[in-house]
Amino acid sequence: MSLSQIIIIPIIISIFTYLISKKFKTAGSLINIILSGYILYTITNIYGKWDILSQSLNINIMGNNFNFILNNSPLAWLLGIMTVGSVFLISIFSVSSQKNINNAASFSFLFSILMGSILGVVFAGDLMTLFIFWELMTWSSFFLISSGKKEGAKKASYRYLILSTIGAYLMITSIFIIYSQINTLEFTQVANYLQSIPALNSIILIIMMGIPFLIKTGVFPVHVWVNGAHSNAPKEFSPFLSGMMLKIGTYGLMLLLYLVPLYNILDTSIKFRGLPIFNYILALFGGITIITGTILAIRQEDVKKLVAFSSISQMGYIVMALAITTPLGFTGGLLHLMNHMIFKTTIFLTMAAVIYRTNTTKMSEMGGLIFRMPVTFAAYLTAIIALAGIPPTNGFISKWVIYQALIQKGYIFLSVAAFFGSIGSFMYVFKPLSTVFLGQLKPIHKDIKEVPFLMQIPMYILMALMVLFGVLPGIQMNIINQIARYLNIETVQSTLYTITGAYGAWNSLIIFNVFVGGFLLALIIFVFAKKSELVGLMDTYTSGEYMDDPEAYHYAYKYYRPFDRIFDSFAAKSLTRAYDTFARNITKLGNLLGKTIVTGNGQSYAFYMILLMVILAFAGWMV
Amino acid sequence: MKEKYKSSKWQEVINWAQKRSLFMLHYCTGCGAIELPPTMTSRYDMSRFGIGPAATPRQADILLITGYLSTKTLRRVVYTYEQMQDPKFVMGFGSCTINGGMYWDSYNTIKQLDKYLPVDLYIAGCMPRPEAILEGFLDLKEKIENGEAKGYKKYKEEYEYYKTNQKKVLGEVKRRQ
Amino acid sequence: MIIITILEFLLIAIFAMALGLLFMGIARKVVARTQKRIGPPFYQPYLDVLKLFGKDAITHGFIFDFGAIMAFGGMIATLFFVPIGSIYLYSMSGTLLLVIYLMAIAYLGMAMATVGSGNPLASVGISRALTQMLGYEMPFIVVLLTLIYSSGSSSIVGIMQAQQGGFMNWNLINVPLGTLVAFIALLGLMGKKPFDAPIAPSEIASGPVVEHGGKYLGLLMLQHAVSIVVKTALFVNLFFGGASNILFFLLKMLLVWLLATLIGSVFPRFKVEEGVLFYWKWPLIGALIQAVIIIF
Repeated sequence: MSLSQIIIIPIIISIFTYLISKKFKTAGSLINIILSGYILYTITNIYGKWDILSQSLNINIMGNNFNFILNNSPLAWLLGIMTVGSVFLISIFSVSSQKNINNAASFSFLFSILMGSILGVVFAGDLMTLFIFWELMTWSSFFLISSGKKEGAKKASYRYLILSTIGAYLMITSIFIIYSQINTLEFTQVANYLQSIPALNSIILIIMMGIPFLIKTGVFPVHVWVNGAHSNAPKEFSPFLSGMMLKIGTYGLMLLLYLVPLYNILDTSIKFRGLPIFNYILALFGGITIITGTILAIRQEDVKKLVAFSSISQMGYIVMALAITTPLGFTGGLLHLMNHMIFKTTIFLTMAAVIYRTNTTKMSEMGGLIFRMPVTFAAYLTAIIALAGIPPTNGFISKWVIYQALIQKGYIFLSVAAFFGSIGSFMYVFKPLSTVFLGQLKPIHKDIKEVPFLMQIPMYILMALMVLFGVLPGIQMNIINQIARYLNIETVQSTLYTITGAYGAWNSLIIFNVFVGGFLLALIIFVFAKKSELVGLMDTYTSGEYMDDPEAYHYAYKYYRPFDRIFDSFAAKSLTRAYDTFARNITKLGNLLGKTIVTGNGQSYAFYMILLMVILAFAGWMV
Repeated sequence: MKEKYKSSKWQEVINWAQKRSLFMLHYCTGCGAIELPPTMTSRYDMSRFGIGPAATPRQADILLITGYLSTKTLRRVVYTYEQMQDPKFVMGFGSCTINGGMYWDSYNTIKQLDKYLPVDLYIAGCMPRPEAILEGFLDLKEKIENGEAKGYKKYKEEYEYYKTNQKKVLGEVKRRQ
Repeated sequence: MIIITILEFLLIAIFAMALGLLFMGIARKVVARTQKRIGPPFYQPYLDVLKLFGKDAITHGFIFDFGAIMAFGGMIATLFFVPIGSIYLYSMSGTLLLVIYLMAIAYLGMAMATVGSGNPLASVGISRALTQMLGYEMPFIVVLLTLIYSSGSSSIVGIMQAQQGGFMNWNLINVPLGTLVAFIALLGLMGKKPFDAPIAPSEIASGPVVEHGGKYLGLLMLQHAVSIVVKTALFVNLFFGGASNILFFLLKMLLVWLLATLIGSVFPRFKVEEGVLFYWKWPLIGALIQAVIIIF
């Protein structure tokens, strides 16, 4: 199967999916499973066939020759397989979870289109193809987000759309500027062009092209859409939105930073510790993103919002690591990109499972679900261990590499931000663990059961992946090194279970051994000691007082109040609200102008005409 | 628990350690509690005998009832006692726990702690001086070593007796589970 | 070969437990002496642990058990990456950051067990502990990064070896401000007095361990003992130049431990957010100044 087929087939089949799943609700997800499974198989087969499969289509529009190119590179392959893989897992999940959802048909339909368009974005070989699929992706994800049931879904999705549209305008402008100069949009030629023109011009073009990518990634000043979109999207779509969609923005950034070596363009500019100031500012924005995301995540009472803010903070790591542009930074960023996709998908899936059973996203309305949903709990636990970066899961390895990259260059502020995010992540990931899964079971949730087996399958797979990549990071390093060679970057030394950093190497096998040893010892002591007696969760120390109401006896609301108090004034300055105020003021200004200029008086319109002519004449005279 | 396991050498070691390490939950219901701070701090320092305060009944070995118990607090004390883990010991502190003391004719306090909880040792006095308290603790240690402090077993064996007595003053005692 | 490794493994674990309990006993004695008391005998913690394992215990379900095992196992696993004198099982390079994160698994286990008990007091304690962790880890880690940068190695053994050759090469002399900051952070790391809001026995009934009795409390006490050894040994390795002679090493560890205990015995408690803000003020500024001096 050729690349174009991989992209077009999901888009075509989506129509049939829609028609069929209008009749049979589960059919849509089943078709998506088969489709994504088949594409997964195909993409696995094209591994290693870099540049051979490239296709191009020549179209002549009004005398302008557009060459649409599709190309298979290691980076594209990696993101492609991640996309299809997560679509596959989420489709398995949504077979059961969407039984009672009304808009299941449109979900499957849009999801299929979205998969095709993302594949189009990553396999694109020129800017025009990328842009077209980028827009398709934006629109299909917009409709997916707005199909969420919650009342905030509409507003959140509009915020997403407006930001995306601004990005798209900037991008298409820069694309046409480039096209008008070199008559081609193929990546390498664009890269050469950008390196040949004066640095200032190319930086402006790159910033214009980079802003849509930054918006999709959710970096600090433009992160405002992320939490609303994630928390209001349908529960099955949130895993994909956070796990995959944000990464597509990072893919674009990678193109700018590495394929168009921004580094070379800026080689002569001001440098900070060997890093062009422009890159450093980008990394700095990554750092601010980490801190903002962490602080806001800790405050949330809504579980999906909490995880959404944690996504923002984790994306900060990826942006930061990629912006450093050292081999270690590149490797760390890509490792974290893969690992974040795995554990964040898991977290959102487990949360979707919990929401599926409890029908609420407020953490204080849940509690004690561990004995009712043990598999979900196990998946969540593994995922948060990975997210918090605790060995022996995959999350630690990527963070370790990122830290190595930071220390190597001695970036103090960035390291402080990275560690703040890492330790802050203990706090925010423990909050759902404690309030949703542990603690007292609510009386209304007494009869809750574990989710159906089909919904458990993706959790098992993802759990296995997290431990597998935690013990054998060499599997990921293999593809990363191929990407590095493809992009002409130095590779990082690695074997199946070791990675060599700037200061010392990482050996996951030893760590795994020691872990097993430590746990066995603890287990032996535990088992040989006296047997203990099982008592209920309400039989706890209460200073002798009687407690009958489990609901009142569950510590869940404002879990980190002392910490939040420190940042109350910071959180009150909401950037979202600032943007909203800005938008309101623009509307007001528009109304005001409308009243003064659009008077409805023929004479004033005539006056405008004359004014315009005078200006034009003056301009012509000047030129 | 098997009887064989209990009487083994291992159990002797445990008993030996138990005697020297006692965590005390002082249930400060009455005025006698004021004598505990001097007992714990520099003047008398009971920690030299391995006795220290515990924060919760789960960790505690000794339940120290410091003075009179109103019927309202008795309920809480019974509750707390049942949350403690074996082996556990009850110490009655001051004359109120023995016969009601100065509250002998009060309608609202219990006169004899022994009826409701198995008391292993009483410290007489109104109120007992720190010296007397320490003496009491030393006696309890001796009792533990000799295997005479069996209150917790007695409570299990004669549970019906204690429960009826508790019911008489409290009405139906609400229990967990 | 494997049997020898396992034997070594067990020996180090038992040694660390015994040493940690001894340290706890000494600390109790020292605190008693500062308060003009006689205090319990130095072997009191051994008796406590022995007694606790002999007592009956209750459990609140499997997460309560699993968390206790995870806490102890995680701490034991951490132990093997921290050299004690010349004794270490694994001297992998790149252990310093690993140790910090491995300790977190013990905390996570403990947090899970305690919150799994269903007692809100435990949750309050954990929420305080995690908050405070964000406080003390920030300056601590900045100092660690400075050390890694200055000694060119991210392994504990490497940093220890970089300080060979006498007193003047110790990081205590080379990185004085950093040492001070790390020591203040160590107080928080060990839950010593100004920063013991998470366990505050008088307000939240010993917080996280409120439901732990019998063998669970025993396991956590052993875990605490091992954690004392890990943390003091880490500090000695990083700032006091380590030692090839085990005796000297133990002496240095004792010195650090006694200093921390003495400071802990005279200070009252910080409110939790005040503790965090304190750490983000002077220690963090100190750590950053030190980092700027070393790196630039």
